[in-house]
Formats: sequence, structure tokens, C-alpha cells
Amino acid sequence: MPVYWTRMGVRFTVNGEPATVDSADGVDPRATLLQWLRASGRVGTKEGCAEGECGACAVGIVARDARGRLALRPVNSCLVPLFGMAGHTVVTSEGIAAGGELHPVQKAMVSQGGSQCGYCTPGFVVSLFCEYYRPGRAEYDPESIGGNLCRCTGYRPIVDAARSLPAPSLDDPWLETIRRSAPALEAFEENDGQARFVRPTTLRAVFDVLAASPGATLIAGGTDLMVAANQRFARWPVLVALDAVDDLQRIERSDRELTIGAAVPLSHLEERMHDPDGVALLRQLLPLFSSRLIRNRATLGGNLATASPIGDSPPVLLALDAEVTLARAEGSRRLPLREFFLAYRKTALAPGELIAAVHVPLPLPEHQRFYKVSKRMLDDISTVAAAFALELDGSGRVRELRAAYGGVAATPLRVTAVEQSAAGKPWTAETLRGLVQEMDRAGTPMTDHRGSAAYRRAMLRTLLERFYFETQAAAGGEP
Amino acid sequence: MSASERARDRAKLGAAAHPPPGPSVGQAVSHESAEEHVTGRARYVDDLWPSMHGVVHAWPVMSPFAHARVISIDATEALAQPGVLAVLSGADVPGENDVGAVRRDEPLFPSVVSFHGHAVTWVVAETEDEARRGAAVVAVEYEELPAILSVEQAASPPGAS
Repeated sequence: MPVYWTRMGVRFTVNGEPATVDSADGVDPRATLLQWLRASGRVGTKEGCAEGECGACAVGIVARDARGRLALRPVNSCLVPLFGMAGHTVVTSEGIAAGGELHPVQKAMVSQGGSQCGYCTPGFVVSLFCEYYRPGRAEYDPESIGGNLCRCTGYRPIVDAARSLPAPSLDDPWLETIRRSAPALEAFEENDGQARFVRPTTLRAVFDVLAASPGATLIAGGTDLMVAANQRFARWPVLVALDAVDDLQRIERSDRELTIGAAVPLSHLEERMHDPDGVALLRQLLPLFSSRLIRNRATLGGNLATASPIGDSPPVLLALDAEVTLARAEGSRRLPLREFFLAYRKTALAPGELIAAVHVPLPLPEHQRFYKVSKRMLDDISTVAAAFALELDGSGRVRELRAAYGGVAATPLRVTAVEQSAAGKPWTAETLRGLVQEMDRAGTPMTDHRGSAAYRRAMLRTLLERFYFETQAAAGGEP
Repeated sequence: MSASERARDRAKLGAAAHPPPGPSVGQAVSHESAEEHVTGRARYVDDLWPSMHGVVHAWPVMSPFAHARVISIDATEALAQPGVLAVLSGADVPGENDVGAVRRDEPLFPSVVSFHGHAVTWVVAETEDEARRGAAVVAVEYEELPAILSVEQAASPPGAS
């Protein structure tokens, strides 16, 4: 039985015009925003890869940043469910020029020679446009176009265009438009008899849907799930969107722990982690995790629940000794993250249960490092990822070492043998030699197209050595 | 080039003002399509169908093998799917079954697959979604053939591996 029912479709705003989409008109509740934009003739937004790597499909969505300020956030429209746009304001490359005059971002791209074939250009323009209005922007952030790939123009003229951008003038009409475009996220359900898209706003309502439809699929940012839809033609009968559930959106700090809601967009987390009390490991993780376009949608809950052995957040959260709150209708339980991953892509989540929050215990370990080994430094999947946390006592002995890896076994793992072996020993080259031998027995690396088992095994050892040398340097000791 | 042709060229060049009016050297000249690119108005092939009538969509059925012989293609189930109009094969090609631009070595409907993901047949349907659904149920029988999948194999003499 449906929890919500609308027969009038859902409403949102595209380039200043109201838009209504309704499955009664034949719009598939599983459609992506990009599919709808293009099928409705708004073909300025392009499909390149259909998996969130190229950014040709970038559109701006007005959303709040971590400080609650309304801002334009660029996202990959190929990974955004169309009906999830209900109550949102969307801007595409076609809606940026006003009154027949190009926007300063567009003028800069024209005058600097920022386009050649032009196919990636609308996506670049959208990313730069959102960067132009980023609250508090002092200078251009190169990461703002980190999720846009160009294969013929070359990045130099595009970066020149970005660097030439002045601050918006105080009477820039877009500032007022953004201020007036707060998302209005109401609960609704869209159902065409074949597929349902449900967006609850409370956890209680999420559990009601899960109870009525045990096979329902949860979707937070969709940056992983929608890839399966686009590339592997996965089709889910019931999608339950979590991005309007307030209970999953909070970041809270107590003396004891930092609690991160499972559906907090990673860009929010990133903004908070740059505060003085931020977590170094998370700060190091996020730029390497994915592009900004993805981080504007992706969540920790999603990255943990998908349980990929090469996900990047699990090693970091394992090294932080994080716990997760798993919630279901009957109540919630807390579980150390190290007990969450059971086997390849298998987790401790019971039917009807979801990840509600991630808890990072405080105080934080003194030394924290995240390393990602991938073919490309940014916007790529890990071959091996490692996160280390180390606490030394006053005499330079190891109070606690935590070593967590991804990509070396069927699940992300903590190398407890190494951790236990390090405890109480001086943090010296001799101790390292022993730990490295221990590390050679860790994990069950396999060979695939990203790397051979031998290469991955070598990385287990090498990354620990690197951590040692970097912490020695930081501690001012002799390596 | 004959002397008379050279003289004619010189005459043509001489006819132009030197330097020519509106010199380009030293001037910033923007790409003639730049404004279309930055406003999303530039049209590419895939941008044309939403504004056209009667456009149908094709989706490929792709080989799961890097090297294989196509034994048979059974499209019965695909053709029974809603919206599916046709499942194309080499028999539907009136001319030469080859799309190689220079070397004529790219059969549109190959009888021997030469890479993983090689399209062996295409499903045509009213919508892209229907074409994908149809492509998912086309039954292709392959005979897998040996394939070279590593640098080591490629560098070794024929027959050595």
C-alpha cells in the first residue's frame, strides 16, 4: 500500500521555468534527470560516460552548504533520479545567459578559447558557473572542474578562463535567484504500476515503506546505484530516496564522538572537516574519494552499504575505529565498523535495516594518513587504499596503531596482527622491519585489471613503510 | 607548376592588398562555434532526435568474449518484447557488410568477434529503453576462440603460448 500518493506529478524549476513531471504522462519513475532533460528537448546537457566520470552532464542545483547558506552545487545529472528533483531548482548551460547576453563565465570561456569540439563545454560552464557563485569564494578552486573531463581542447585555456573570473557584483541577479531558491522537500510517491519512486522525509516513513515493500532499494546520493542502472540496465521496482530525511543529514559533535548522518553529502562533510576540529583522515580522504560533482551527492552511508572492497571510506573509517548506527523500525543498534563487512559485498545489515549514522570516537589519534594507489590520482577507483592512525606515548612507544586497507581482500580490513605486534614497541626502523614481515602475511590480494596480486601485496608493505617515514619526519625523529 | 601558372598566382596575390584589410595576426579571434558551445545551443547528432518525428532507437548486443565465432543469433524473444521493431543482421545489409573507413575490415555484423564488447547485432525499438530490454534477451551462441589478452602473450612468437 502506498504511503504517499500524488496524481499530479512532482514540480521543480528548470532554468527559471516551472516543470512538472508525472508518471501518468508516461515519464518513467526510474528516469534520470539527464534522460528527461534531453528527451524534453533541453539537449544542451550532454551524456558522455553515463557513470559520473566525465561531467558533460553537469547541472547546478540550489542546495544548502554545510553552513546552511544557499549555493549552486554542480552534480552529474546522469546519476540523479528525475523524481528526486521535486522541489529543487535546476540550472543548465542553456539557462545561464540572461537577456541575450553571455554570462561572465561563458564570455571567459569564449575569449580564452576554452572550447574546441564543444561537447564537454556545457558541463564545464555549469561547474564554473557554480564556482563563480560559491559563497565566500576568494579565488578559483581548481577542484571545481575536477569532475569535468576534456579530451580535445586541453585544460590550459579552460583553467585560464576560470582564473580570469572576478567576484560577482553585489547586484548580480543570480545572487537573488539563489537566495530565493531554497529547496522545498516534501514527501511524495510516484508510481506507474511498474515502478515506484518514494521520497519520505522521516525515518519512520522509510521503515513503513520497507515494511510494506521488503524488496525496496534505498538510494541516497545515487552515485553508485545509478551507475548500475545506466551501465548494467539494473531496474528496481521500488526506490526509496533518503536525501530528504532530516534525521540522516546531521553532523554533530560531542566530547566523546563525531556523529555523521549517513546521508550527509560528502561536500558538507568536507566543508566541516576544514574547521580546526576537523578529522585529518577525512580531510585527506575526500579530495581523493571522487570529484566534487560526485561529492555533492555521494554519502558515507552509501559508500559503506555498497561494501565494495575497493571503496575509499571504509579504510579511513576503520582506522578511525568508527562505529555505525544501524536502524530499523523496531529500534537501532550500534556496531563497530570492523564487524560490519562480512564477506564480498555482504554486510551486517538485516532486512529492513539501514545505516543511520557513522560515529568517529574522540579524541582523535595524533598521526593520521590516508593513501590511495590508483592509475589516476583523482577521479579514479583505488587499486589499493590504506589508512593509518597512530598514537605514541611520551617515550615514543606505540600506544596504538591502526592499519586498515582496501583492495587487498574480499572486504576492507584491519590488519590486527600488525597492530598488536606494534603495541608497546618504540616507533623505530627496527620495529618497522618486524611489522613489514607481519604485513606480508596479511590480506588475500587478487589479480585483476587494476593490479596484480603481487603488486597489491607490495603495496601492503610499501604503504606502511611510507606511513612510518612520514610520521618519523613529522615527529622530528631519525628515519 | 609552370611559369605561366606561377605568374597567374603572383597576379592573384598582388591583387590582394598587402597587408590585407582586417589582419588576423595579433587579434584574438574566438572559435566560430564558441557561443553555441557555452550556451548549450550547439547541436550534435544525438541532440537531433528529440525534435524529430518517427525516430527509432538501436541498442547493440555485445560479445562477452574477446575472440569468438558467432554460431547463431536467436531473436525470437526480443522480437516479442513491446516496442521492438527489428533485430538486424548481416542479411539486412543491402550492400557490403563493412563500415571500415579505410581498411575494409570492420564488418557491421561480424561472424567472428574480434574484441570484448564487439556488437554482433542491433535491436531496433520505439524507445531506447525498449531496445535495451530487447537486446538483453537476444540469445547469441558463440564458439570461443583463443585470444591474446596480455603483453606477454602478444610479444611471444605465434604458437608459443
